Amino acid sequence: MAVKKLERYKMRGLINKDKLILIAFLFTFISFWFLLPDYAINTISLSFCNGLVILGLLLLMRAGLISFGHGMYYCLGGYAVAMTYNFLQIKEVFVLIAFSILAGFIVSFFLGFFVRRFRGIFFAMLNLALSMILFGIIVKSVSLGSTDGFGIKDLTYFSHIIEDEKRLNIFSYLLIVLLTGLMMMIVMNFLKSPSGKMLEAIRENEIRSSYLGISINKQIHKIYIFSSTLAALGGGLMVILIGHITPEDTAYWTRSGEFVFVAILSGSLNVFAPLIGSLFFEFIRSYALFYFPNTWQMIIGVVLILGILYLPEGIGSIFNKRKK
Amino acid sequence: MLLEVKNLNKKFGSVTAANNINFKMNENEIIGVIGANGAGKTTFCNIITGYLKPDSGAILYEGKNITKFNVQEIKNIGIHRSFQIPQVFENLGVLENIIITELVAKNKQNAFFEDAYSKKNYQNAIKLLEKFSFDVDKFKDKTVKELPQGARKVLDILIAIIGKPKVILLDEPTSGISTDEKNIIMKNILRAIKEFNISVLFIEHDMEIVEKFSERVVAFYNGEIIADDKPSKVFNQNNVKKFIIGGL
Amino acid sequence: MASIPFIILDSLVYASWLFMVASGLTLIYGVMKVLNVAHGSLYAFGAYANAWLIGWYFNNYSEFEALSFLFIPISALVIGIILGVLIEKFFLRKIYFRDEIVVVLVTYGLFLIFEDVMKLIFGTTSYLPYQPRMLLGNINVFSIPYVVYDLAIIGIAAFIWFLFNFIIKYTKIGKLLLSVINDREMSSALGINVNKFFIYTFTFGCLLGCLGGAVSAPMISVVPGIGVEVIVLAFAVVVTGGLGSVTGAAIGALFIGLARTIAIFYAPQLELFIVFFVMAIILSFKPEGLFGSKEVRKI
Repeated sequence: MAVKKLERYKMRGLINKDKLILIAFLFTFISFWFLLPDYAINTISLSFCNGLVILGLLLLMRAGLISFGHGMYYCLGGYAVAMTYNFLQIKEVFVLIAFSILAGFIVSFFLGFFVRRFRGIFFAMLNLALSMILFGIIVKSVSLGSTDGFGIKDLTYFSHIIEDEKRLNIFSYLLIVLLTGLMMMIVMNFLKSPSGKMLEAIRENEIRSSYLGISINKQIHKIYIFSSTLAALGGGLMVILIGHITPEDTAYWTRSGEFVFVAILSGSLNVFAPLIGSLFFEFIRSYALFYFPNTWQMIIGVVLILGILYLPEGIGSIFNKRKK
Repeated sequence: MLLEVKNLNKKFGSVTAANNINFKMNENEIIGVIGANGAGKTTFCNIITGYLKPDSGAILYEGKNITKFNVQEIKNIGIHRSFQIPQVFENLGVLENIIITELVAKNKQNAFFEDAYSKKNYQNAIKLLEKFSFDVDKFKDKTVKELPQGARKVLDILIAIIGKPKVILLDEPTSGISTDEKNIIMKNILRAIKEFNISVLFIEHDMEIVEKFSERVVAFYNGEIIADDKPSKVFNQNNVKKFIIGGL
Repeated sequence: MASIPFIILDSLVYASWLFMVASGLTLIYGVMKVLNVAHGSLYAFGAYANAWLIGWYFNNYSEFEALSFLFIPISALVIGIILGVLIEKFFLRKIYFRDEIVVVLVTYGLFLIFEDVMKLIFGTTSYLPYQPRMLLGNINVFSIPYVVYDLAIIGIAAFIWFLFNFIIKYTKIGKLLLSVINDREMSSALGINVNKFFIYTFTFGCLLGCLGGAVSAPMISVVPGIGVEVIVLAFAVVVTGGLGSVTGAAIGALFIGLARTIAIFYAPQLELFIVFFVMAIILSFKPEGLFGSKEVRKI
């Protein structure tokens, strides 16, 4: 079988190279604003928002975990923005974003105490259950708009009101691209740091990790918070972009399933994989929903299964757990 | 006195794994532990290192009661161990295994502002491995999964030595290693351990190795310690001959 | 209004429903270590099949109404066996040796596929096959009218429970099953045809899932999406009781059933929440579930 390429210190030059690639990546997408048509920019923007959630899943995958409920944090972040806008009358974009991050952070901080004790399918399904609870809570709450959801309208950037009619304007686009880029850089640095290597250790061998002195549950709690906060930010940015949110689009299992699908097929090799996977997915989805609206789930299911059966390295290997 | 075990008891259902175990260990001792499979040797290890909790009894380390300590806490006060089946990071390389171990030992579990796999860390890892006569050049580009059993065993033990422990428990350090290699590996390990003034307790089935390398032998049978003395004395004891080494 | 005996009865009915739905899931996991997310699809398929048959019958005939009860076992058997064999043979068999979570992903993929297949076959409008439920009439329990059909569910759950225990304790198959559950490799080495056990167990588990759906159809509005609510609930019951333990699933169902019924009477907005709250509480004390097995010693 193919040997996984070992990261080596010779790649130290690559460390700076990685940052350069990131800058080129961001620059390319910023330039797309001036080059590509509206619908493409729209799709790109949404891909970046969702890409943040997938990036969060990558972190969990590095630790050997997968969550079937990450839509919960996507939902929380989005509703945080919508609620802050509608109930606190705050229109300042940067404050709204801060609230979405805070929402993800606080909820995952508390839920993490419970969730961190579980692994494998328990962990995956527990998060699914929590996400469905959130769905149930929102649907039953009239003040949050129930199934119709919530909307927001005009925003300010550093207190400047945007004159542009469209939700997707140069400011919101830059916000999304640059914030995502910032998160990618943070995750990149994290994965290279000693803190990030703890995830690899835990994934590879929990027993040895604890005998090394690693506080396994604490590390998992830490990565859960990091991962969930990213997802919440993705949700918040999505609402900034689209201007609307419903529980069905976010906290219902279907969304989490899509996130898992993209995360699995993108793999966890580097921080670009989630973004690229997300881009592919969003573009294909926009075509598929047009041509095959009633069989979208089926297509995902088929591709997922085919991928697992016939690309064992690409998919099974992301977990790399010791078999019992 | 470094480590003291008092009246330790542990049962798994109807199986008694530890029956009133009493044991003392001082600095710089090399103790061999013998006993048939199932006699309670590994359970003894597991309890001391906090992986299992005893039903009753106490474990004292440098006078402090550590019975309730968990695995991480025991490791941090200086009691390390290696495993019967090597517990290593299979899909990472040898150097990476060492680097991660050292990073945790230096309390860098949560360090964010540095690179884990830096040039300096690689060089330190290579230096450490060479010190233990580990064939770095042969193995440095492979994942641990691809290593021969002997190398994995040695790596497992080396990981246990990192971090300045005061006590090391080696669970069958030479099992799965060919006869001609056993002596060399034990020699290398014990030489390095002596250099760091670590007290060693090793579980072994190979009586030649036990006789050659230990200053004191502890014999287990049915969850009890039936002998605890110099090797020559223990090997001549009737019940040890009867239950463990044969020759009665 | 909310008398204690009535609450207990309601809890019993709901618990029986939970057990009926979750038993197949936990059985399959216990024997094969497969968490079949598609169990929700089997429930939905069973419900749809039964609903469709009932709808067809009552649209065309008006005599022998009791015949419609036959549709329940018919749906369960036909769908359960076909899908069970199909899934085991073409999908599960290829991935038994892989990590548990990979198996879950595959069953999750199947679940996604089945959701759309059902939409294609049965459409998206709701089916309301209420007729069989009305046939048995009402009965007065503690001077409150209760639908007999709903009470019958307690009987079905009890029957499943006794069937399990009988098979395990008194038949040769049961003993072999216990052996396979405990140690797959060793059983195989002893000459037990583990693969055959897997096929039969999986099919039986699917049958139970379909049965759950078929029995439930007359009580609900059969629409796309019922599968997902069920799999989430079934998972909660199974995990609370301990993965693989049928006894655990029964006790877990009782706990959860009681909590939910109390919630419905006194704080209805907590309905879904309370189910997972109970699960969370129990898992806090026993992470492996009430009757779950602790991890085997690895070192």
